Amino acid sequence: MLSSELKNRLWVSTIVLLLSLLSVEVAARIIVSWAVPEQSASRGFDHKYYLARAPFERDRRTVLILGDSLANMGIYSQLLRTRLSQAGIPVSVRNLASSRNTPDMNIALLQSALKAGNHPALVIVNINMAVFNGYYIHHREQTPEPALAASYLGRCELAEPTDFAEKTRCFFEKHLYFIRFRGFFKGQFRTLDRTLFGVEKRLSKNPKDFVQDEAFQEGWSPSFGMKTEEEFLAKNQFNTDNLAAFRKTQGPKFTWEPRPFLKFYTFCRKHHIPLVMVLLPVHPISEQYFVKAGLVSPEANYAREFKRWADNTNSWYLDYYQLDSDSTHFYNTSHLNVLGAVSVTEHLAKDIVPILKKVESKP
Amino acid sequence: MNFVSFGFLAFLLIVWLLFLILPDKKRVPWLTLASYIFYATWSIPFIGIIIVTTTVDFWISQWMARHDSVSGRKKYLILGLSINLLVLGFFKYAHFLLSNTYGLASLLGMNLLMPPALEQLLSHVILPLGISFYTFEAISYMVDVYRGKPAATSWWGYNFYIMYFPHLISGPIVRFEQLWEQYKIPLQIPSLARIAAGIELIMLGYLFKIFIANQAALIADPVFNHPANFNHLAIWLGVVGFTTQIYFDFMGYTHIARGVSLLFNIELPLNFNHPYLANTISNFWERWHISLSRWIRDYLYIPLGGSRLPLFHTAGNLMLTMLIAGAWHGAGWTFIAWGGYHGVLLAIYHIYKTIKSRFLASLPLFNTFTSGPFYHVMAVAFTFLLVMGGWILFRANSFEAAATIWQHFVNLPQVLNDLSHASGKELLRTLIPLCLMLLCCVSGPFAIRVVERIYRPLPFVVKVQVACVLLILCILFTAEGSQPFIYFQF
Repeated sequence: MLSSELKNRLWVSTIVLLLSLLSVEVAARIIVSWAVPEQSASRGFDHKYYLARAPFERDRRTVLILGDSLANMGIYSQLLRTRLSQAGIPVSVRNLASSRNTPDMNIALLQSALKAGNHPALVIVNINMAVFNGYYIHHREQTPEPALAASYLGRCELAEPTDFAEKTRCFFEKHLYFIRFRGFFKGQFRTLDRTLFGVEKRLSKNPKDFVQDEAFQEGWSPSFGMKTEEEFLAKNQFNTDNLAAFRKTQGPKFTWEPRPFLKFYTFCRKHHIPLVMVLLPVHPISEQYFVKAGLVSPEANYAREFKRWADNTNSWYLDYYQLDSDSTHFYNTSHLNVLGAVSVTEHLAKDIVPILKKVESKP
Repeated sequence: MNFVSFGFLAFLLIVWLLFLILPDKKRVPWLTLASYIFYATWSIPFIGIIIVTTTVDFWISQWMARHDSVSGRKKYLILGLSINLLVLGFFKYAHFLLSNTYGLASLLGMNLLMPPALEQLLSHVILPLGISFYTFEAISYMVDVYRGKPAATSWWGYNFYIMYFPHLISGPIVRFEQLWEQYKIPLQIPSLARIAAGIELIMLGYLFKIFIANQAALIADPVFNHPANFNHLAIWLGVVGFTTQIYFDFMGYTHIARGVSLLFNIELPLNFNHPYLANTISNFWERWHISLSRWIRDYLYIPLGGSRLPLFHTAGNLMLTMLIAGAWHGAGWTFIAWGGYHGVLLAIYHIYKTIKSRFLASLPLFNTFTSGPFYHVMAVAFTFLLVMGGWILFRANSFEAAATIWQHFVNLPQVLNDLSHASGKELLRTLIPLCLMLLCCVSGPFAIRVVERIYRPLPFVVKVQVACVLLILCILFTAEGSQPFIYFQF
C-alpha cells in the first residue's frame, strides 16, 4: 500500500500542477483575446476555415470556390451569385480561396465544411502551375504545408480518424489554449526584446489589419493595370517566379507533380462533390516565366491531363487561360484585378449554368 | 510513441498510477502489458516479430543451460546468434548489402542487375523500432548463459527483460542479470527518494532534449543539409551544433528512460559520463554510450583477444570492433566510415600508449609535462576536436557533403578570415550560440554541483513548482512538433 507520506506528496504535486496549468491557461486566454494569433498557415486561411463552417443558406444550394489567390481575386462571388440567379438557378456562392492555398489546405477546408453539415452543390477550384510545382513540393520548407501541418486547424482537419496519437493531441489543443497557441507564445518569448522595448512598433500594429486582409476581399484591386515592365517592377509582388519572369531569367525549375492535387480530386469524388477545375488567365509576362521554366504554356503541356481528369461524370474542366490577355485587366503578373475578375466571372457564370443543371438533375 | 509527446506523458501517468495501486505480484505483468501497448502504438505487426524472437531465444537459452559441456552449449549459442543476426541482417542490412554487391558487380564489368521484384521487396522493408538494441540485449543474454550465468526461469521473465519499455527503443543496452536481480522478487513501490530522483532525471532529460538538442538541431540541420551554401565559420557553428545536438539528444533520452524506470523501482545503468571531457579517445569511449561500449568490449573485443595480443594485432581488432560499431548505427557507408575513423584513432592511441609505457614513461620531463593541468586541458580540447571530426562523417548525408564540411572545418585560417570579415551582428549571432553550445558540452560537472547545492535543498512544494514551470516551458518549446530522438532510427 502507498505510505501516507507518498499519498500526501502525490496530492500536493497534483494540486500544484493543476494550479500551474490553470494559471497558464488563464494567461493564455487573456493574451489570445488581446492579440489574436493565427491558428493555421495564415490569417486568410483561418477566416476561410470559419467561413466554411458557417451554416449554408437553407433555401438555396451553395457553390464553393477553392484555390489560391488567383481564385480569391479572380472570381467575383457576388457577381456569380447574381448571374446564376438571373439564369434561374438560385445558389449561394462562397469564395474560400486564399493566398498560397494548396490542395491539402483545400481538403482541410472541405473537411471543415462537411463536418459542420455543409455539403456544397458544386466546388470550383482554380488550378495553376503552383499547385503542380514539384520544386516547391519537394522543397517543403518553401511551401505552406508545414505551416498547415504545424497548426491546430490544419493538423486536426487532416488527421486520419484512426490516428489516435494525433487525435489525442488535437483534443488537448482544442481545449487548452496554451497548448494550441504555443507557437505564438514562443514567438512572443523570442521577440521579447522587441515587444518590451519596441513600443512604437507594437502600437503601429493595428489589430484591425486582420479585417483588411485580402481574405475578406474578392475580385479587388486598387490598380487598374500596369502596362509596362517598369510598372510591374514598381508595384509587383516580388516573389521568385515574378522576379524571374521580369528579369527573363531562369526561375526555380518546374517539375510536374500531380499527386497532391489528385488527393484533393479523389477526396471530392469520395464525398460525391461535383468539381469544376478552372484554369484562370495569367498576364503575358508570366508566359516568359513558364517558357524559362521549361514550359511552353500550361495549356500546351498539361491541358490534356486536366481534360483526362475531367473525363468523369462529376467533374469538369474550364480553360480560361487565354481568355484575357489585356494587361489592364491584371493587378500583377499572376492576379486579375476587378476588371479581369468581372470578365472571367461573366464567362464562368455562363459555363457553369449547364453544369449546375446537370448536377441538379442527378438524384 | 515519442518520449517527448503528450501521448507518452498520459501513458506514463496511467501506467505509473496503476503500478502504485496494483498488488506487488501483478506489477511486472502489468509493466509487460504496458510495454506491449507502448510498442503497439508504433506497430502492431512487429510485436509478432519480437514475440517470436524472444520465444526462440528463451527456448534456446533453456536448452543451452541444460548442457554442462561447453561443446553442447556452443551449438545452441551458434544457432541463437545466427537467428538473431539473420533477423537483424534482413531488416537492417539486406538492402544495403545487396545493392552494394550488385553495384560492385557492375563496377567490375559484370552485367548483373538486382531483380526489380527483389528491389521492390527490400525497399519496402521497414526497420522495426529498437531492433538494434534488443538484438544486442538478446545476444548478450545468450552469450552470458553460454558462459554459465543463470538463465531466465520463465518466458515472462525473459520477455520482460527485452520488452521493458523505458529501454526498449534506444537502450541503455542492459544485461539480463542487471534487470533480473531487480524484478525476480515482486516489485515494491519505490522509496520517495527514488521517485524524486526519477522525476529529476525525467526533468533533466526533457530539458536536454527540448532546450538544448532541438535548438542545436536548428543550427546544425541547414549546415549539414546544404554545406555548400555556408562559409567556414558557419560550418564550424554547424559542426559544434551537431556535436551538441547528438550528445544532449541521446543523453536526454537516456535520462528520461532511467528516470521513468526509477519510478517503477528499476534502475537502468548510466550511459554517459561527461564524454566531451575525455582526455583521450579511449577515455571518450569509456564515457560515451557506455552500455554499447561495454557490450562491444565484452562480447567482441575481449573474445577477439583484447589487448593481450601483439601490438598490431590488437590495433586490427580495435579497427574491426569499431567498424562493427559503426555499422550497428546504420546501414550506410558514412556510419561505417565513422566507425573506421574511431577505429584508426583508437589504434593510433593504443600504439602511442604502448610506446609511452615502454619508452617515454621513464623520462621525468615527459611525466612532469603530461601530468600538468595545461597538458590535460590540451588533451581534452584535442580529443574534443577529433570527436567533432567524427561527427561530421556520422551526420553528413553523403561522402561528398562530409568532404565539403571537412575541408571547411580544418581550414582554420579561412575560419579566422571569416571571423575578421563578419559584421558585429553576424559575430554576435555566431559566437553567442557557439560559446553557449560549447559551454553546455563541457559544463556537466558544474551543472551537477548546481543541482546538488541549489535545487535539492529546496522545500518539496518549491521543487514541484519548478517541475511545473519546466513542464509548461517544455510544452511551449515543442511548438514546431516534437522531433524524434536521433537514436530512434537505429
